[in-house]
Amino acid sequence: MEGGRTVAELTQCPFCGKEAPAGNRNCPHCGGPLKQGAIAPSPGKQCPNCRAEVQGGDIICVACGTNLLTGQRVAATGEKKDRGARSPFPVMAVLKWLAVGVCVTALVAGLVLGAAWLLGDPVAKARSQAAAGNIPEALATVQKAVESRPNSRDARILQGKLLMQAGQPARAADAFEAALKLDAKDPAPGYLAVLAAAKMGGEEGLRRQIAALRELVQLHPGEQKAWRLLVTALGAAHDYGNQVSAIYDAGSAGMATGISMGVMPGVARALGNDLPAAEKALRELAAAAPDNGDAHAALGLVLSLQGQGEQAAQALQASLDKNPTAPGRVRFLLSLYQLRNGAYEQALSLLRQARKDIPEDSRVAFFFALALQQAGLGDEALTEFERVSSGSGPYAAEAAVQMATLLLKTDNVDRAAAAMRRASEQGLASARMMTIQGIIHAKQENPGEAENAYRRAIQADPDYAAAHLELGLLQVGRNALDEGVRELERFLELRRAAGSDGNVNEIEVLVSQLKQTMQAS
Amino acid sequence: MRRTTPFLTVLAAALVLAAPAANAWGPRTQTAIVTTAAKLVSKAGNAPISKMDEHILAGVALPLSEITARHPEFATDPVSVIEQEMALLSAARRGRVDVYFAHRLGILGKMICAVTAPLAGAEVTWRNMYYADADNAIAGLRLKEFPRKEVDPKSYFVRLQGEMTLNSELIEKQYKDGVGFKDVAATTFPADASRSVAAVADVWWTVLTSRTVPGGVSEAQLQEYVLAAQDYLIQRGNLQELEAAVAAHRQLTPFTADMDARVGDMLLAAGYEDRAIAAYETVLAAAPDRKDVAKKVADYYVGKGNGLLQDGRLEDARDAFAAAAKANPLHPEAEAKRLEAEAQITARDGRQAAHRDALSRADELRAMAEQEAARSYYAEAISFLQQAEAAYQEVTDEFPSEAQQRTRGLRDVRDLLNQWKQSLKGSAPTYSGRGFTEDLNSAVQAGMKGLEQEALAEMADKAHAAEIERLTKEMQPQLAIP
Repeated sequence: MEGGRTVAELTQCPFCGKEAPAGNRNCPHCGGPLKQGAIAPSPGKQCPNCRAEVQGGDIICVACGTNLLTGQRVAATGEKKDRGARSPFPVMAVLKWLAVGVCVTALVAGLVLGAAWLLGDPVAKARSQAAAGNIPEALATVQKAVESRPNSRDARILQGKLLMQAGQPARAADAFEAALKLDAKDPAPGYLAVLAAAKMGGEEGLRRQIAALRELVQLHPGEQKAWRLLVTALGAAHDYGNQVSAIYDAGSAGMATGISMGVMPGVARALGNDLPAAEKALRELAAAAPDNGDAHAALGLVLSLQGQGEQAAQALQASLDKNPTAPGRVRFLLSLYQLRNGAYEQALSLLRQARKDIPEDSRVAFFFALALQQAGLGDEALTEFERVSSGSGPYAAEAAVQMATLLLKTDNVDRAAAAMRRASEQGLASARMMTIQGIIHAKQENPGEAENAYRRAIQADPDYAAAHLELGLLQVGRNALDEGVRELERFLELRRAAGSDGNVNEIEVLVSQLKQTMQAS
Repeated sequence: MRRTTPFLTVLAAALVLAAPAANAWGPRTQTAIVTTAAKLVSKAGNAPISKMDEHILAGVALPLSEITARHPEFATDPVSVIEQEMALLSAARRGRVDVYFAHRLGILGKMICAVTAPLAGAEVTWRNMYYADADNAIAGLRLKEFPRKEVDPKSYFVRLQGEMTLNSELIEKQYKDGVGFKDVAATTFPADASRSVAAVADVWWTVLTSRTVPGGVSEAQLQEYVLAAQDYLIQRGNLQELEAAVAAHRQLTPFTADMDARVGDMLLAAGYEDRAIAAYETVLAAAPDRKDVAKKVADYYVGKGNGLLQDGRLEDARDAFAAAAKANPLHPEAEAKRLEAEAQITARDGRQAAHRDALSRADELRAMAEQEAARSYYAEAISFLQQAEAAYQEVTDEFPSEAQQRTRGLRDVRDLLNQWKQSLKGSAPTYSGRGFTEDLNSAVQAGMKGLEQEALAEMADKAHAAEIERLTKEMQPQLAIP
């Protein structure tokens, strides 16, 4: 029971499998009959009339011509009509022959009309059936027409259209592809096949699109639209090697001149890991089409991949004024550059917008919180980290660790410890995490545990500078100056090796002063 | 009066003939005579010249040879010289009776002593013996006082000459006879000395009180008087007297450019350089074509500028050189020296600015250090202090004010350094948590990983979606079933 309605009131359409009200005669989704007595074809079933084997999705029994949707035989209908056209013979003598004549005339006319019905254009018939809204019948008619006339292009095209309407894009694509082969001069069925394949969706849909487009460009190498579709389809299929080849082929066919392919050549080369060629192509595009947001965005992305951060950030920033097609990720990447450069306010602004652009991306939420923290908005950052850590995204544990660092700054040691437990429960076990745990122990006046935590952190990552610093400070505080200074020097060594001077000067001074103190004593 | 005129004329002629050479009373007698005369004149009122004894006596002390050098005709016609001097002093009196005037009165007194001394015609030997004896006798001598009377030099001295020669021959004879200063000489000496005193007093009285405007005193004489007065006062070194006298002398006669130039020379020679230059500049203002004066001014300023330059007083040196160049634009050194001084000023100002900058930096670093120390970040505080110390040490001793600030700053910084080093060890835990700064970069790096490819792939997907959408719209009519 659900919402006061019984399940028995709904029934599953035997044709499209979707739920439909049981009282309906036909399925509101595909038009298939729902009433008892209607015959639903199913895979491996038999025709109810002639017991011949039929396939799931078939509408007409190819053996006896029975419409599997209605259970009626097409021929029987004709016979019935034929029988209905007969009239009883008259008794009156005077009018006997006249009546016979009339009857003969009527009979001849009926026979002519019946023959016309039986022997006339089934495609036109199917078309008129479809126009009357009887799609299943039209499909059956056209199926029969296809069977009887396999080389009828019109039948194939109509079949494809009807199948599209009936929600069977894969078969529609087959029909359109068949139509394309029947008349190589007209590319339209090829495009219809592409649309049908696109309707399929998923990898198979893309594969079918690509196949159809390959055939189309083979048959019609002058179809620029087809080339563009093929190139973009290969990109969407992440088949960048073939995408680059397709661009090359299109160029050879004279169908990819100048900037007609837009960012695709650059993007394809970038994703195919040919970054210098990608940069060259995108720079040319950006110069030729300065208002093309994607050109600047893609160039920024390629420069970023090449490690040219500053230039990348400039190009990404420039793209944002020109409506790139992936604004969320562009903003996200740019915000990370701003964070790295210490431009926290700008990073915040970008991340705020990126959250709207790609709300499903939990990374953006994490870095938004991180930017808040760096901008000194500790309370707001804490709220955001809490939200991220409560979720199940890839940054949930890291957000809990960040919460702990924030809470430690306000000496909220217990809450920091709770946050670290949460991070631990989520499976995080990094050197950073252990170091922060050590700080918590130290603040809880448990230097032994703190030392253990720092040593575990160093064991996990001997090059994690912060662990050496904390251990050094702890030892200095415990008056173990030798070891303390040694660890602090290790910290300095690692920092210098990393090319970072953050907090190095002050620790250098501390070490120098401590050494003087040691010498003096 | 008429009866006496031929007689006086004859006597005058005789007096001229018997004009003194080096004959005069001895110095003590001369001093006694003029001192007494001064007292008499002062006692008579109007001119308290006895207060200027020092200057009168300085005039008396002037060697007779000097007087003769100034007035060559004194040897032959002393009375005329006395008369001229009286006229000059009477004219000069219009200005002011000052110390130089007293000095000139003293000289005049000496001239009168020479003219009124007995034995003028005697042999030098007996005459000098007599004057020496008179000098010895003058100390206890009681001089006779006569009432003051206005003197007409010509007749006055003719008359006196007659009185003087009355006993001269007898005195000379007695000296020759070996009597010496015992008989006649001794008995006539008070009268003779008193006569000289009266002569000096009367002449001075006449000079000081005569209401008649003396004729025959030329502008040139007055100018010479003024210049001599300036020289006398400059040599005395009393600048207040000099100032006062200059004002009076300007009333007596207008100072010509040449006079100012000579005064300038006197001042310069006496070491009053500023006043000398002021005098020279007065000359140049009145007579810009005086190249000699311009050269003196320029040379003076160049010399002064060199000295100032050596003392490091660059602005003063520059101004001196500029003044030299202004006085004499063609001076061979002035402009070059001025430019050199300017260059030195610029360089010095640069050094001073650098020192001030260093002090300012040091102060800022020290303030930052104190802020860090207030937060117990002693390592940073010490680091800042060490930087401040280095900045203070950039300041040299060249500029006293800056050097003083440096010394004070260094003392404070070193005190703080010692103090904070002690606090350092205990502050080690405050550095906890600072090792995570690099974690941001690591996180960012991790966040970036694959993001570019994602974005590019999204662009590729959307490009295809857009193509399909476009195709759908285009093919829509063909999908319809007619």
